[in-house]
Amino acid sequence: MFGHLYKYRLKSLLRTKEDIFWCMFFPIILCTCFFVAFSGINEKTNVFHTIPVAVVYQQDNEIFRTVMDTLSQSDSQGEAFMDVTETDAGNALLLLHEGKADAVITVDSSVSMTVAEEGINQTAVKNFLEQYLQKSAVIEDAVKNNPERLTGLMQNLFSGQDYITEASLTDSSMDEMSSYYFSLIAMAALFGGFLGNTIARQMNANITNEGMRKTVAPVRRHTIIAAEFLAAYTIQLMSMALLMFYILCVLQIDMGNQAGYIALTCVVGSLAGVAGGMFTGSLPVRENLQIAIYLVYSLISSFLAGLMVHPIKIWIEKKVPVINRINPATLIQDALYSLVIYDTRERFFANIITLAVYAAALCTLSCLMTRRKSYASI
Amino acid sequence: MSEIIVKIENLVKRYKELIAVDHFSLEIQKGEIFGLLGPNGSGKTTTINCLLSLLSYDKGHIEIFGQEMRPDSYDIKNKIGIVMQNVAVFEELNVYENIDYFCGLYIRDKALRRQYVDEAIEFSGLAEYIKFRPKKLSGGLLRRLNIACGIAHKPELIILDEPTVAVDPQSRNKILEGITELNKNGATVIYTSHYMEEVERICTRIAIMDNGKNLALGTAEELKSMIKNSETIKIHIPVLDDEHLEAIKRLSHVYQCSYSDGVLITAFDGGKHNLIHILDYLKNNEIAFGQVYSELPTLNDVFLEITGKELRD
Amino acid sequence: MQVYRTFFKMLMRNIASGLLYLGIFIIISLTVAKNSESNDFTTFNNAILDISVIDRDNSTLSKALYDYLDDCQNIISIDSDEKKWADELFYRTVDYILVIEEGFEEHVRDENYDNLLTSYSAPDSNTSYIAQSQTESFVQNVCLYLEAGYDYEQAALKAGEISQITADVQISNGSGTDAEVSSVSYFFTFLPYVLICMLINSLGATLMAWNRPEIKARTAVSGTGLTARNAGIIAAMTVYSLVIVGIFIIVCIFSYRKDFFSESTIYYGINGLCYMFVCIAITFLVAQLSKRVSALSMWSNVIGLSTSFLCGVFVTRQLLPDKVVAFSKCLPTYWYINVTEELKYFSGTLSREAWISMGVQLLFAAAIFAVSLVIIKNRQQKNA
Repeated sequence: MFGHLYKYRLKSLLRTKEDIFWCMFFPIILCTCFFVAFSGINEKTNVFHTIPVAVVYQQDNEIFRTVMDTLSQSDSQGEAFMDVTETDAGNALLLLHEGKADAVITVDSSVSMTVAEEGINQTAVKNFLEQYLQKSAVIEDAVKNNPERLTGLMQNLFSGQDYITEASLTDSSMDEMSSYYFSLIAMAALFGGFLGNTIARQMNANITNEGMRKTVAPVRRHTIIAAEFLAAYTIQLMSMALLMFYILCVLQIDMGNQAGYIALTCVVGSLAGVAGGMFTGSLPVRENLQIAIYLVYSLISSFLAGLMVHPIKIWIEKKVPVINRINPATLIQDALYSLVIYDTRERFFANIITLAVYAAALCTLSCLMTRRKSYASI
Repeated sequence: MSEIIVKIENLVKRYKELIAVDHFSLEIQKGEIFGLLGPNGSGKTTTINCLLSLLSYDKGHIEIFGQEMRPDSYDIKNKIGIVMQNVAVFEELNVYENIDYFCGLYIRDKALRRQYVDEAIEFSGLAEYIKFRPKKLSGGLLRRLNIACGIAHKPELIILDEPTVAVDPQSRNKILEGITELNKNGATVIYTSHYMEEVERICTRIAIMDNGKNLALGTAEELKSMIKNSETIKIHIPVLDDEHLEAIKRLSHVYQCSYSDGVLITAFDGGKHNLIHILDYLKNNEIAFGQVYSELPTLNDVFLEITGKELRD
Repeated sequence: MQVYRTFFKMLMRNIASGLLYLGIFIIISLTVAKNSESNDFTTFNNAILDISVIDRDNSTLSKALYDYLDDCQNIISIDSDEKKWADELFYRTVDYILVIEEGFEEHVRDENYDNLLTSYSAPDSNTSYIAQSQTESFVQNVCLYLEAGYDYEQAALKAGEISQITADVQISNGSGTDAEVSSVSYFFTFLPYVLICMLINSLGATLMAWNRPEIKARTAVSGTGLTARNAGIIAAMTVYSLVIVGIFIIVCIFSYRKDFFSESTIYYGINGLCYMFVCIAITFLVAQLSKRVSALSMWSNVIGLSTSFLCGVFVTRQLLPDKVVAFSKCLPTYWYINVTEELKYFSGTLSREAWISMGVQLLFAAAIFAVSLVIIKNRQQKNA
């Protein structure tokens, strides 16, 4: 009996286009969006591109001109830091607004800059100017007080020496973008609820006709519930496996070397997802409303976990941390995140256990609702 | 007296203010096709749902196959086949898979199940459509699939709740023939409908239901004999004065007589040769008449007389 | 007129679910906008971070560094036990931890820079680099002053002083006056995602009821022509969408009272209206292509999320790969963002490009409408 129920549930769920879309294809589509959107960030922030700037000398400054000349020359990789155009104030602003210069540097008694908008290139120019101003202050000071040291000083001026060792508490590598993928995995796990929603709906005699037929059949309720739940869970795990394959093998995103723990997160997260869906599917409301409720629940949960804008999660952690301790998407996200910063696994398992408890509670609730044998009204 | 399959005693089901089933009692014997006739909203489906333990009820006692029916009476459930009023099949599964799935809820043996499913397909005339999804089926075929899903496991008791709603006459005939055939093969049938012709045609016994009450019970003939009316005669008469009308009213067994728009309608409460008597009177008094109809009472008349309203919506 | 009235009546029947979506999206927009204000990592206004400094050296120099960072950032003291730091980073008590290693002062003097400082930052932080670079430049300046012959105390003091030197940056927007990014802009940046999800889900459902073959056939055989039918539907959709946009703007007024009443808001509004027409057109098309109401939420999320990611709604366009930006020109959202980007630094007049961008959006709307009309026509002939 169990096998029969399981087989047919598997078959009909696999043919339920909406559910398969949400739990299998939507995460992959979103993942592709992430990949496309983020692939430029590393390149744009870490690789220098020549920045076009216009320089206006209101007052001559020989040192600054020399520095600019140096910076406009190609470095060893064949790219110059800046592409400098010397011009007058009016023309410089024109260049700025035509997009032919990212910044206008005005040299008078001091050095200042004008930009049309804020951006990476503008920030780079600003940082350069600050370095320049600070170093000139040092040199001025040296010229005044210790001119004999000037030569040695000049040598060290742009040494590019790193003083700070960036360390990590674990050997997993992670950047800001990884957290988006963590949230995505959380969302994908929750979207297994669409399957749970469908099975619950089709088990309850007060919601669907199919449910009625199942209720009058001589099959024990717990057999039906177990078989159908397992079928939905199977498909959800397949979807998660597909998603992980896509992330790790096709997009080749580095998730660290914690495959086992990540898999465990997927397994428990999916359980929470399917259970959540089963719960909403047992609510005695119209089918469309059930789906809407679940969609809203899972998207809000993911949104709070930082799926759309990551800092939301951090913001919540600072303002209302309790949300992050109970929101299922954040629990999944944090479980994965904890693998990256913790050496120990306590936080990870705390999250996994919370998730499991959450899943168990929802399962129990929906079973109680589904197991009800006679209805007051249908 | 043969074996009693279904026994309902004093069933009461309330939905808040509304009493859907009101002290309803019933006994159905083995081998019957039992008709539950009543207008929409009379409580037929509620009674069936209570019978199946789908609904909880406020009062009463239900026994099937001599045992109390409860939500976990799996032995009883195993022997029941149910065809719901609404089509209850999976959109994602094709015709064969649907029948196999529902049959599989009752029959565990695979070989036997295959045989049963094939027979059900044969029976419902769906052989050409086994690969079709329900969406692609016409209304009549969908109803047949709905029935096939309910009866594939060869139940001893088959409950059909309005299985012919919105079905074309051809399919309807096929369905009715099928039900008779199932009955011949040994199944007891409970058939609810608001189509009196169907009920009259196939049912061995009929209960008339309205407002949740069992108003009358018996064979079609018995029900008809319960009422006063035994025959209604309509005669087209161009001119008839009141004097003659009064005379006709005094003929034997006439209990109601009216004349309007050139039609004389006379109702009799028994007696034989009523038509001859009335025609003789007309001839003897040289009253010209045209077409003549004689109608025997229908279940509608029975219903009308019991409840004072028409069965048809 | 009849079509318009009936359609509108049906929309009002579905208002409950419409309001549900509206409420959710308003909350999301406000949260996102609020969050972006403090977290936009391309802005010059550096945020104040919560950081921790563990001083294991306890020397003059290390104390100077500590004081300097204390001036710039908000220092929070945490347990010096390394094992507990993960918690601090995990729960975001701090974004960044700097460890001044033992022998810091000595190593600086010896010019042995290998093991001076160690930093730990929350891996998903996009702001901790600020503290990192401040520390870097401070230490560098100290080294220079030592080179110039000062002692530790003086060098540290002077380094602290010059580290405060910042470049003077002005933002010019063509008119020569300075402008600041108003919070209204963040609100409007997220409008495309919100609007498209809202309209597809609430309008789409009603629209699909009209697309049922029976209803369509009935309308087709009535005196109302196809053109009149579509015109009625579009008019009703427009009025409904105007109401939605109106509610958004009212929410915006209440949330940003101060910023709202400026000239740029009018342009944001006009741009929003242009995009509204794009959304109506997309909804119209989607409703033709969907067979079931449940397909609508799929469409809305796929279209909403993908255009938002590709066109710079969620991730600012400057960070997108050039190829993606080039491709996104084929999407109407690109042109919407074009205008909002310009309006960020607005005061005075709107450039010709911005007006063109709005025109392009309207062209997109018209083109999508045309495609849907062709589909409707084709289907009707096929069914006839």
